[in-house]
Amino acid sequence: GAGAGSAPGPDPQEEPPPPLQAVLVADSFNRRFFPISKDRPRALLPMANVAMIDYTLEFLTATGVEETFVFCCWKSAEIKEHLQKSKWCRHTSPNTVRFVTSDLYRSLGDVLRDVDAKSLVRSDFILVTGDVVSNFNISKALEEHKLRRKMEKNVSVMTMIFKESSPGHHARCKEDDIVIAMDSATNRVLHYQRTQGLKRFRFPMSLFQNSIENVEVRHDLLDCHISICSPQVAELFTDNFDYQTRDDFVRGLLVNEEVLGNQIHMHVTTEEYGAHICNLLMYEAVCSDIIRRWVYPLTPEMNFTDDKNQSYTHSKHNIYRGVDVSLGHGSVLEENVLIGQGTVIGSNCSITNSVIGQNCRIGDKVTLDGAVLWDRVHIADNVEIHHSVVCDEAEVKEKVKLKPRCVLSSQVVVGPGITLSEGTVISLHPPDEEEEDDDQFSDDSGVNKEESKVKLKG
Amino acid sequence: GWGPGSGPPDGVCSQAPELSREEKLQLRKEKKQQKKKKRNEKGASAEPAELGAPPEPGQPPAVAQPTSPPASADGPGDGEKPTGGKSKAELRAERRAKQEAERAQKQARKAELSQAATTAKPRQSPTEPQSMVKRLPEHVQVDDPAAQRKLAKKLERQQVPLRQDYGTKVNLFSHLHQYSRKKPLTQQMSIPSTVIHPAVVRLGLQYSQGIINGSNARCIALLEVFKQLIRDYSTPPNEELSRDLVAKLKPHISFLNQCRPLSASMGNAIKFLKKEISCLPDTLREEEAKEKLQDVIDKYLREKIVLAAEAISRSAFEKINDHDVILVYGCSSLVNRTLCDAHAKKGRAFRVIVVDSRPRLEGRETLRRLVRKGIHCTYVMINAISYVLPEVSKVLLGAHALLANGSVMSRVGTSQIALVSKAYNVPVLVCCETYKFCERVQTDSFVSNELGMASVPFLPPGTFSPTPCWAPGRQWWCVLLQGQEGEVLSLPLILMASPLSADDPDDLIVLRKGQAQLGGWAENKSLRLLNLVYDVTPPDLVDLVITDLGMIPCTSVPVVLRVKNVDQ
Repeated sequence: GAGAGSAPGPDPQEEPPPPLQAVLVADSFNRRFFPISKDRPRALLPMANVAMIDYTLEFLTATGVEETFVFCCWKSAEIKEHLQKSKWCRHTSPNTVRFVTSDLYRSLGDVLRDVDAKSLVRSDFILVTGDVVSNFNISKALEEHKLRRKMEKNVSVMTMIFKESSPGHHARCKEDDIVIAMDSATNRVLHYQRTQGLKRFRFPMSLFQNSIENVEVRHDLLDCHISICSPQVAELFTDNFDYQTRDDFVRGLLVNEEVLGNQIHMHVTTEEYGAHICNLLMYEAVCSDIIRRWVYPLTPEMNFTDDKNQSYTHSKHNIYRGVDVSLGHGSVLEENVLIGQGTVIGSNCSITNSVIGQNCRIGDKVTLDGAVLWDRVHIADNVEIHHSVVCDEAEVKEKVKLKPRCVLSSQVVVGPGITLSEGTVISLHPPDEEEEDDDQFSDDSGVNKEESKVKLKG
Repeated sequence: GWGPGSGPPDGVCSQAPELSREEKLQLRKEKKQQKKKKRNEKGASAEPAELGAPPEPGQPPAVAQPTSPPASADGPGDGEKPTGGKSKAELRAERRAKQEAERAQKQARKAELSQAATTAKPRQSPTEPQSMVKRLPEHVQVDDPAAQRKLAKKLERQQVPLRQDYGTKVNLFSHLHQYSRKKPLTQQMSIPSTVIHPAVVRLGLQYSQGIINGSNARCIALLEVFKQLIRDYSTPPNEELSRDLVAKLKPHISFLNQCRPLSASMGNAIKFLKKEISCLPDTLREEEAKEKLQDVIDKYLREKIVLAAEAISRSAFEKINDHDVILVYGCSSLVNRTLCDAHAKKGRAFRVIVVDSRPRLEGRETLRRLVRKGIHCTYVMINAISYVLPEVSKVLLGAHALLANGSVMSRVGTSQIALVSKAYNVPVLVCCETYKFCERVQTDSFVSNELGMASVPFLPPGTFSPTPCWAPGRQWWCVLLQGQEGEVLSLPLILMASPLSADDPDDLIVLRKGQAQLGGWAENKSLRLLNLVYDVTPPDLVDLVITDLGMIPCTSVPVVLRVKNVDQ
């Protein structure tokens, strides 16, 4: 519906502080979510029944961003359509969303070069991907960033946001593990290294030989993939056309620090939440964090997307129920359960730590533990699902058992009476190898893909 | 009916030193009862003056009799029994005269009482405290300079430093010590100390810093240190081990008591040890005697603590069923063990709700231990208990001590939980080893707490318990207002943290977003912090006590104590 009356109207704004801008890259340029992302772009995957990009936009809006450029590539039309229907494109939205679409983007580097070419940004901007869930308030980090830029003109070009979380934390992605050396006095990043697959870390001697008094080497940081960038970042991407990812950029800058004289800083948050959903394990972890209210105020019952289909009641043990949910006799919702609007659950079911989308049909004696069901899923009687994802309109027939880490993508029909072993992925799309080379331009390149068996059904 | 009653007090005062402890206790009880009876009689009906104004309690009747009640002067015929052989009319006349006289006397007395209300009190107070002063432990008389001087003198004699009080105290609790954790007792000591064994110094510091915490842990640590003390002890020439060792222990005990008031469990353990030492036969050689004492201590540790915990865990298991939701509070080693055993050994499927409170947040330790064992836990703060209680099926609490009137003394907040549980009809089970039972009596109002305890060497800070009519969560204020009586108006703003001790008020300072709101509380004249450690839960809020002797109602404490006394 149209926003009622109270349009804020562009007040005579004092010009000096330019509106805070953000660049949201609604594409991952990798295939970590294949085959799910074949049907639906990653930014639109439902996370506790709300598209991921909505979380990112809410984070940006809450932190004070007034203009967001959404860069889409894969399935850009769908993203555009989704956003145009959402509250972000209403005229009451404090955050103006602008779309930039092109099928030619192959990496983050391409996007930032385009930002520079079109000179979209006027001052410091926030760079995020469309799969970031956070309740972080950027203002303090932004202030520090601006102060640094003021003190030493154009030396610090980027501030990366990290969340403190000890190794082994469930929301810490193994693929994204990093070790960082920093100057504890100035928060300057001195060394940045991905640790995936490394048994030992190497640090250049120069790190400890220069004049910096305290060097901290940290392995307790989770990269939120939120960065505060100065316009120079876009220029630097243009100058160095081989930079494809943010990693390339950071590495290049640190190596050439002596030459170019640019620095990267970091900001560490301990209390707030921030996570980048880079694979299905993270998807599950962040989903459960949202249900457990770690990302407060971004909780399901807040209905921050202002969508009338997304109103939930929150009750004890983190049970969220949508409108018109029916629960059969003897069914138990133990804890951390989210049930979308119009879902019907049969009798004697046991549901725990699960997310169920809208208009699902669930039969009798079903056990769901850690399951993520999207919209319009049909589940017959006596089904057991453990820690698995079942996408839109999939159907699971009687007595099917899904062991942990199974994925049923859209419109798949499984069963009856079979047991899927751990890590089974079923999709209607054949695994096409020629797209594999996309991977090399993503942050997650070089990571061995989890072996997946692909079966075709129905 | 005075004859038998007035006898014992006489005996107490004249022969007190010769009487054994138990006898004294007995006598004291009798005396108290009599006093009560006397008062009742006084209030209920106009008694003959002789009865109405009995000899002052505690004063030898020999003195009281001659001075007699002041009112007796105008009662000519009182006390005289009408002799037989008089006519009815005579009798009636006599009765009327007597009634008349009584009435007049009563009037006179009333007038006198109201007049002498002010004088009567001072008259009583010098006598009463004089008899009480010996029994009231120093810890509850911090506001009495005389008692403090005495304590200082005693400590000086024992060469133990006196710990200085810290900060301003809440008026109502000025009789209790309030120490700062930042100023440990050892600051005033020369180290190595001449009298205090280094192991005891370390233990004292661990107590005062809260490193060793919890009734059982403190008792075990104490006995272990005493074992070391005995090992390192050698009898000086011309001394007897059983006498000298007890004397040597005394300064150590006072030192520990200065560090932190002894717990009931420690009090019992010390009592036991002293008895064992004094009962050592003279024929034993020193080495043998020391060996024997060590064995005795080991046996005490094993039987009273370790095996008792096992027995409790075994019988508590019967009360834990599948699908139970059990609420626990704070950190009790016994309760933790019981739950872990029920989960791991017996495979019961239950859920635990851990309730915690500031500033110690001991519940987190419970949470850590239970979660490590794979028990499904929920963690809430104490202000949320009424929210979680509807789903709770049992409340399982630990105890610091069980008092002779059945009251449960435990971490502050326990009585609040018991109160709310009662309101929700959730059974409250208390786990407590019998070695923590103690003969002290504390009733449910704060004022009587000051006088109530006598026998045990310490009154823990702020021992009182709410009466059930108080609304949950408001009890602290009620206590304050009640206790202050007329002083309510002058009551300064008091911030009450529902859970902590009268030890260090600085514990209440919470750092939030790098800011400590209470940081400068000492400078603010009208702000005082109160940090209580214990509270007392009245027996009617506790459904069952699980002990090593089985499950008993908490009113059976005196029975257990009696049986134990016979045993020893």
